[in-house]
This record gives sequence, structure tokens and C-alpha cells, in this order.
Amino acid sequence: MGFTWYCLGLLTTGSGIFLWHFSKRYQLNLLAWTGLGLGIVNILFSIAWAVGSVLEGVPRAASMGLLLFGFSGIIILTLAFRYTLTKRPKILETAAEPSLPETVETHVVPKKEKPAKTSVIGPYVSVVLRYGAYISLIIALIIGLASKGKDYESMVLNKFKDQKLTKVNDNPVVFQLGEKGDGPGNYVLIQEGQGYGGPFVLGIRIMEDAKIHGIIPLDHKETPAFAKKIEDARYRDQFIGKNVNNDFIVGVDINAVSGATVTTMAAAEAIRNGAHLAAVEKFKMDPKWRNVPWKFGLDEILILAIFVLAFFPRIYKEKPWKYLYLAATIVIVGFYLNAAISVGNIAGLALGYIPGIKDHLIWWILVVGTVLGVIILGKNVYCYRVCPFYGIEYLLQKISGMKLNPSRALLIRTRFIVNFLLWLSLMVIFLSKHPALGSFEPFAMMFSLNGTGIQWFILPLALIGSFFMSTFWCRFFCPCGQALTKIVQFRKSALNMLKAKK
Amino acid sequence: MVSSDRNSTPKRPSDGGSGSAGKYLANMLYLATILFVCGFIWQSIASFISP
Repeated sequence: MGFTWYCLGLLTTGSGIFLWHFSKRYQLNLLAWTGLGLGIVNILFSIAWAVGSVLEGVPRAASMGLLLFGFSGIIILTLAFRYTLTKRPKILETAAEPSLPETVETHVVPKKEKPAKTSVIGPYVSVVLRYGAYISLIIALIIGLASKGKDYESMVLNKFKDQKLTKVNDNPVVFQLGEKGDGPGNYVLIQEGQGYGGPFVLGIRIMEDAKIHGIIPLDHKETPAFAKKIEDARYRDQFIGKNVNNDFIVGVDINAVSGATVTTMAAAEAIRNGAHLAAVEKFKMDPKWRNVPWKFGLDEILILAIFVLAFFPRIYKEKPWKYLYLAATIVIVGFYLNAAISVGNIAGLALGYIPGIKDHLIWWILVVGTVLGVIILGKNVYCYRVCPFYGIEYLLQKISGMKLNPSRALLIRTRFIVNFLLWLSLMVIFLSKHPALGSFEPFAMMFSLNGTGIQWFILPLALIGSFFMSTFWCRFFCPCGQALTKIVQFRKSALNMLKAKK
Repeated sequence: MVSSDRNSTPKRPSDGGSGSAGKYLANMLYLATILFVCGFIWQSIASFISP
């Protein structure tokens, strides 16, 4: 921490010197001084906050500090600079720079532009790398699909370490806790659900009174932000004490959870299926519960409207519709429903992680709709239109007015790097069968403020980067956008091959 | 703004008059983000290998 204070001291001194020089060039008024001072103080404070939080092992606090203080500081500082440079008068230099006599002609030799390289690797290496990547991904997918099923027994034993466990049924898998035949039955019925980012496993604790006595999250391959919602005791407690022949329908006898609608509904679906199986097979009850209706409410209508409007260039390109559309994507797809697509969703499709359409129409509209749009029409309607993170990036660009770019040396490598990151992400997902493990996008975190470990630092960097560089995340990192682009390219190549054969 | 269609070849946006300081800042942000993305994937691989 001492080193941090030393660095902060240097930064403060440097900022003071910079402000002094700046005030000699421009006539700063109270507003400009306040903006510049507040911006610098906020940034310095956020650095101290973030370093302190990391040292205390609280990355979430560090990220929040960087976002709330650091990022707001950058915005204030930029606005103050823009105000000063455009609205404040320049102070005239006292000693004018010696000007060239008019008679002397100035010859400005134009710099020779180096021819722009398009690739840093040779064509043969490029082909080998490309096909090597495709083959390795196919092998990884096959390995993932063929890998053995889950070890439910060790999952349950992990939760009930001192209990004896006996498997009493195979389909569905049911374990009896304690000695078989001793006392009243105490069962754990295993059910799997398909969340937004991947599957999860729940144990439903049922006793002889035909009531649910506990919902135990056993394992998940869901986006951590969403998984936390079903691990929350308040969500699980609403199932406790209910008879196994209840309806278990969200909006009827189960409350919906905002911000993780798809995942919590998938959990309710898994619990409902498990409880009803127990009701029929174990307790010999007549199925008197209601059939699950199609969930088609305001949320689904809004998402459908946003998705359909993405096909109309006038809406997403022309002002003022463009601003309304962007605001709708940020508020509805982002903050309200937190339903932004990630690479995990697309990879999950390949792994067969598909939730039921009746309960998860939003997921179907966005994920299946986007992929089908790409395959059938050859159009990616999600990126730069429906994606709420693009809306945020666009907004930040408007505030900053800056369009920086990395150096040319780095720029020519960005295409290779984004492809490599997509490959790495897909390899991790296919081999682990865990979509959330490879989804490094900060979307789910951004709109729910739930995340894990290093992910906390990707979000502020993505936002700060987007502030200074146009569509920073979309252009340089987004694996989801890159995956959709690849599908478009595959489609084009396949169609060209078909045409050539004819 | 860059091309609004991801399918089309993205145009490189203008530098907006950024100087070497702007390039340096952009490079730093780009490299830092790569570092943390790789860190995230490394963390995922580690948690998969030894849960």
C-alpha cells in the first residue's frame, strides 16, 4: 500500500503541474476548474480505492470503485476538457514564436506511407492455423458430447457429508438419505434444468408427507450472475412446504425473479417436473395440477418488438428512431431482462443446451432467432442493433467524442487476437461442457452487477475502452459477435460452393 | 461510428486527431483488457482442471 501512496503522490503532483500549465494556455472559469479538479480527484480516489480493495481480496468493491469514481472521473474530466477547448478563450502567448519570412518557401516532404499489412503471418501458416482451429474445435465438441454423465452421488454426498446415501431409483435419479428402511423416507430427487447460459442440477428433498423440504443447488454450468439467483435462499424457500402435486408455475404459485427470468423459470420447471414425477410414481397421486401455459406477456412482446424492428434499417439507423431504439435495447434487453446473448449461448446450442420454448420464449426469440436469422437470411441482426452493450458503447462515444485507435502494429494483430480468443473460449466451453466458463463477456455482470473474480476487471476496462475507442468491445473482443460473423462467412462460403457446383 | 452492419467489412474509424498520447492510452487499454480476458480464461481452465 505504501507504494500506492507513493504513486498517488506522484500522480497528484503531475496533475497539479499539468493543471498549472493548462491554466496558462486557456482562461479557465469556475466551471472548468471544478470539472477538471473533480475529474482528477475522482480518478485518483478510485485508484486508491481499487488498490485497497484488491489488497483486501474484494475484487467486486475494486470494480465498483473504478466504475463509480474512476469512470465518472474520466467522463467529468473529458467533458471539462471539451468545454475548455471549445468554449473558453485561449490566452495569447507573450513571446510569439518566430515566424518564417514570407519569401521563404516551405517544402513539406510528404511522409511515405508504409503499405498497410493485412496479416502478420504468412498465407500458408494462416491456412494451417485456420483449419487446425476448426478441426480442434470439432474434436473438442465430440469429446464434450461423448464425455460421461454427471456423478450425482458425489454431488449429493458433498452436501450431506455425514449421511449414508442409497440410490433407490434411476430415472429420475433418487437417493435415500440415511439407512434404507429406517424411519420415514427422506429422499433427494435429482433434476436438471437449462438456464440462460448452461445447465444446472438441483436436488429436491422430499419426505413421506409428500411435501418439499428443501431445494439444494448441486452443480451448475450457468453464468455465475444468474446461478446466484437460484442459489439465493429467498428464491428456494418459496418451494419449501409445498405439496408435490402443486402447480409450481411462475406467476401463479411461484414468484418471478427480475434480472434472471430465464434461469429462475428454468429452475421452477425442473422442480415442477421432479415434484410431479414423485407425486405420480412414489405417492400415486392423480395429476390434477394445471398444464404450464405459454408464457407470453409484456416481456415477450417487448423483446419480440425489439427483435423484429432490428430488420428495419430506418429504425436502427435514422434519428430520432435510432436513439429510441438504442434506449429500448439498453433498458429492456439490458437492465430489465438482462438477456444479452453471449458466446456461451451459441456454444450451448451446439452442446444441446436448449430450454423449453413455452417458458423461455425470450431465450428462443433472441438466441434461436439470431442464429436462424444468420443461417436463413445471412444477416446478423443482433450485433450493432439488439445488443444492449452496443447501445452503452454508442452512448459513451457520444459523451467522449473521441475515436482513438491502438497503434498500427497492434491494429493489424487485432483480427488474429479476436479469432484466437473466440477459439480459446469455444475450446474451454466444449471440453468442460460449461458455457459460462468460456463466456468472458461482461454483459450479464454489467446489467445485474453480479460476477466472479477477474471478470470484475473486464467490465470497467471494456467501458473505459469504449469511452475512448469506437465500439472497443465489439471490434476487438466480443466472441459472440465474432462467432456470428463466422457463421455468416460459413454460410456465404457454402452458398458459393453450391453455386460453383451447379 | 463504424459500420453498423457486422457482416460488412468494418472500416477503421478515424483517429479523431489523437496524438501519440492517445495511441499510447489506446494501446494500454487494449493490452490491459487482453490481459484480464486471458486471466479470466486461465481462471476458468484452472477451475475446470482442479475444481
